[in-house]
Amino acid sequence: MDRRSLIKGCAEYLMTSRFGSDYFLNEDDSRETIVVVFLRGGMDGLNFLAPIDDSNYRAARGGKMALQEDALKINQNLIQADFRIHPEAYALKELYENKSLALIHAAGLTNGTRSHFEAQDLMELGSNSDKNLSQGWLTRYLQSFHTGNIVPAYAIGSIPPASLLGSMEQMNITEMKNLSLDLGPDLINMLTEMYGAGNSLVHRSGKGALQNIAHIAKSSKGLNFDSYTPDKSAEYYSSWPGEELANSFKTVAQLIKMEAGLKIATIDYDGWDMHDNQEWKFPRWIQALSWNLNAFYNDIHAYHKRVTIVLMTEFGRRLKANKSGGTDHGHGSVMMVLGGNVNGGNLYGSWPGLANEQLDNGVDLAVTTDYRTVLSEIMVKRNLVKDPQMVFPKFNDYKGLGIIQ
Amino acid sequence: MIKRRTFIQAGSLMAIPFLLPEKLLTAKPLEINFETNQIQKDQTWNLLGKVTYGPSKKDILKVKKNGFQTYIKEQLNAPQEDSPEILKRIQDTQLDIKYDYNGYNVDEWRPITYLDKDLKFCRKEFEKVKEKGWHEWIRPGMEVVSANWIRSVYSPWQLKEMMVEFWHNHFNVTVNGDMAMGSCMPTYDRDVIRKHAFGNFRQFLEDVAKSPAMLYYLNNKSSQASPANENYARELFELHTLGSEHYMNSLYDRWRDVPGALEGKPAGYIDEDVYEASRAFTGWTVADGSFIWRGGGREEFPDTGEFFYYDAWHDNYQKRILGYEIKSNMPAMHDGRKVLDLVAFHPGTAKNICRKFLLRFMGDDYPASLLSKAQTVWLQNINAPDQIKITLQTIFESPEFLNYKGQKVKRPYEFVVSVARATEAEFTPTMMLQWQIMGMGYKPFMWPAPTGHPDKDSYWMGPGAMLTRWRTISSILYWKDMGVFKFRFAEQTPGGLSYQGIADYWSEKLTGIRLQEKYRSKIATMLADNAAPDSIPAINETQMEQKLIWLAQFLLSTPEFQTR
Repeated sequence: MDRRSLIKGCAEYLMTSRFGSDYFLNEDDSRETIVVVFLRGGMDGLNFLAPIDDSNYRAARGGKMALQEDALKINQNLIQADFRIHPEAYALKELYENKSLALIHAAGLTNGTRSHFEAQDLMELGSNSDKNLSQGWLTRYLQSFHTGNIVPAYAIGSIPPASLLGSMEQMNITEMKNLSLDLGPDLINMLTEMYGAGNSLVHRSGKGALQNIAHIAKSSKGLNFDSYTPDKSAEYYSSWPGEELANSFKTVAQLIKMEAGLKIATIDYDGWDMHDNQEWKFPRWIQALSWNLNAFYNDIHAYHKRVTIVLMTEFGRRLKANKSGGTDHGHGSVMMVLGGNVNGGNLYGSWPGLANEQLDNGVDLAVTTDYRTVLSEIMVKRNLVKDPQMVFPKFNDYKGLGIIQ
Repeated sequence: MIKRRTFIQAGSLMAIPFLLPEKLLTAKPLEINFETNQIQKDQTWNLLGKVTYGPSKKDILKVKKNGFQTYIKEQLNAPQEDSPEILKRIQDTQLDIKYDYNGYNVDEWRPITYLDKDLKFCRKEFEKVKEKGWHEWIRPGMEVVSANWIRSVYSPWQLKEMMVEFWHNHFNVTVNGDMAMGSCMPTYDRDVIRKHAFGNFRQFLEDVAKSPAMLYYLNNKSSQASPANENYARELFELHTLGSEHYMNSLYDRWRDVPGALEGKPAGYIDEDVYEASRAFTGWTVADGSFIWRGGGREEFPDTGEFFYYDAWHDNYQKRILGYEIKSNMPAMHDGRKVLDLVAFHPGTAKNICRKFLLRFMGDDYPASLLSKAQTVWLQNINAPDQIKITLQTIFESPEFLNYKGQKVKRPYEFVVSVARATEAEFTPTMMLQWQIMGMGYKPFMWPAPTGHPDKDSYWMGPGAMLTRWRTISSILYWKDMGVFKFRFAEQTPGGLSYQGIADYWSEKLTGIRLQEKYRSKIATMLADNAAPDSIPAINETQMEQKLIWLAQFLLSTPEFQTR
């Protein structure tokens, strides 16, 4: 018995053995894919998109933490103001102008927490206040329709996000090529039995992993996971700080193109907690984000009608900059929705203003659109759930903003 | 010419002195909990699994002989210094460094050189390599991580190493915070984290607050009046002390409405406490040689890389924090120190930290009774120089802990260290290993958020995590380039055992249990190949090693090895 005889790809085995057709999608497959991009650290919505002719805005911020005349003017009918997008976000502006991208300003969590971790948890659990929920909002969505054993949800990253908390039907990976296992059939057989024999977290995880790689092996349609060639129209931003993000988007693009039943993908883009040196950092982060979003959207052009991409962050930053050349934790920020079914090219929500008495607690951009309103609209209008409360417990004042067709 | 020894001969030589006393480590027969269908490990294994990176034979024998209490007392009194064996291993380590940056092409193995150096030295070195980029900036940090790998695998003071890891997570900093971060890591690990790991929390907190590592990471270094930079103050409340459970964000600025505030005993904190505390820490910075223009003249910070208080940046007006009023114009550093008192002595901090202890050493389902017991002891010993040690001892001596049967998922770091310990492999860390474990989501000194690595099982276990674990095992066992583990399975196997006996021996050694009969016989049959499972192997050592690598891959992949 040598190494070579042991490592015969498990894929062949998995395709022919105990994983029969029971493991493959059997539910209604008309559902679309939602891609949730979480900008972790609190993205400064006011440095990304702002009314540059607002005197309060100009007074509160100096340097490049305030958008200037060279920022990109956008058309919108939300308010009489000269709203502009960060000059490094030109690739994103292109999506806005071709009406694929909608922007929702002053959006966020209505709970006034200025704690990253609390705000992220609450948003991912799909609540405004209940930290003790045992499932993420995407887990609840998954459970509302999915009964099979295979995986319709992928979290790109080395650990899964809280939005998929409590789900054994999600898989977190960093790259497609890691979706295989180097073990001989006999060992896989035994592990399958051992992991199948218990119900602990460990057991369920092992079972889920084995079922999932079997499904992927079957669905891969000969795609090459070692090297991925994006569509010609897609130009990813593959240098720092956008390399990891580009890889995440590429992985999701592969999963979509594989047509293996992907319903949810999550991507994290970290690094927005800019308490200092923001003038230097922000343009780089926003450029990497814009390029990659644009590239991804072009990469999956054949699937525009079946994919909705939503970008969110836990909160925006303080209106007034601090003396370290950065901004501290604030409140309202920007959400973005991208897709072929989006009424793009416009701003949504309502603009609360930046005068002292209009700010949240006198310091931060107020939240006028609950983040759940935006997510609910996607879920309801795309027929993913009937009632938003299925995914957002106790959220009973949902009214669509017209973001989704 | 050297004659190739057969496995039997090699085994027999080994076996004569060791076979009898070693016997099989766990004499207890296999028990299955029919509710969870999980196999129960022997309680010595179970307890040791909680306070070590994997029970070694020595630990097990010690506990069986003198009892767990004696073992814990010894562990809590670990010496401050490394043993000569550990020191030698660290000194013998060559750590790879490879990058291509701005015309510098480096692909070298370099010894570990920063560990015993002070801030001034590290800062000078940093200035020299600054233009060579990130891999050089983070190098001192990576050396610390590597030394800690070695200690985790080999140190007899396992509990201390676990506590060092615990506090690095609690007071998380990353080498990516600022380009100078790496240069702060040797002193941060040595003079802050290791120094106070079993000590007094208030003193610990002040050394953390003044450590350049934290000052850079949470930007207090640049904080000045006004508006102050609130990053450090916020995480001080939310993560280092009271915890988010005690954050009353809905009260925002209504401090009088915080229960107990008017009696000077506020139950929690609000955003305004954070704002005012951030003002208290203005002027706490790093002597990094900066030039400051002030009143038309130029002032220059010293250039030592050490903590530095710069009064001109301090916001010296009155503040109210946790219901306590600080008057204007107090002496240097008074305001920040007062804040540290207020948060360190708060009962909420006792709860937050004791809970983290229980989460770390027990699991998600720790008993509530033990939390209140630990909190009480923590508060009773608030000024004791060994407050942390006393609290831990209370936990480990409690009936709740001694009877605890729960399992905790090994986080990736514990998982990899436990592989080295269980297999008694010869272990040398490399950067390859570092990247490998990062792929599992564990990023020592690179975890981006100030929370540190989460400690709940659900973060570290799931289908994706399990697949990554299995893949990591196979990398570790087969991937020669990783160079970090040298396995000697055949050499360690007692001679005279049948294939069946070998399967039992390794299963108990690696997982603490004997495999259920159906797997056991199947494994023995597979090991034996064409021979009889109850026959004694008649193959050479190389062939045996191959078989045992395969066996280890299976055993390390079983559910039993994933928990501690």
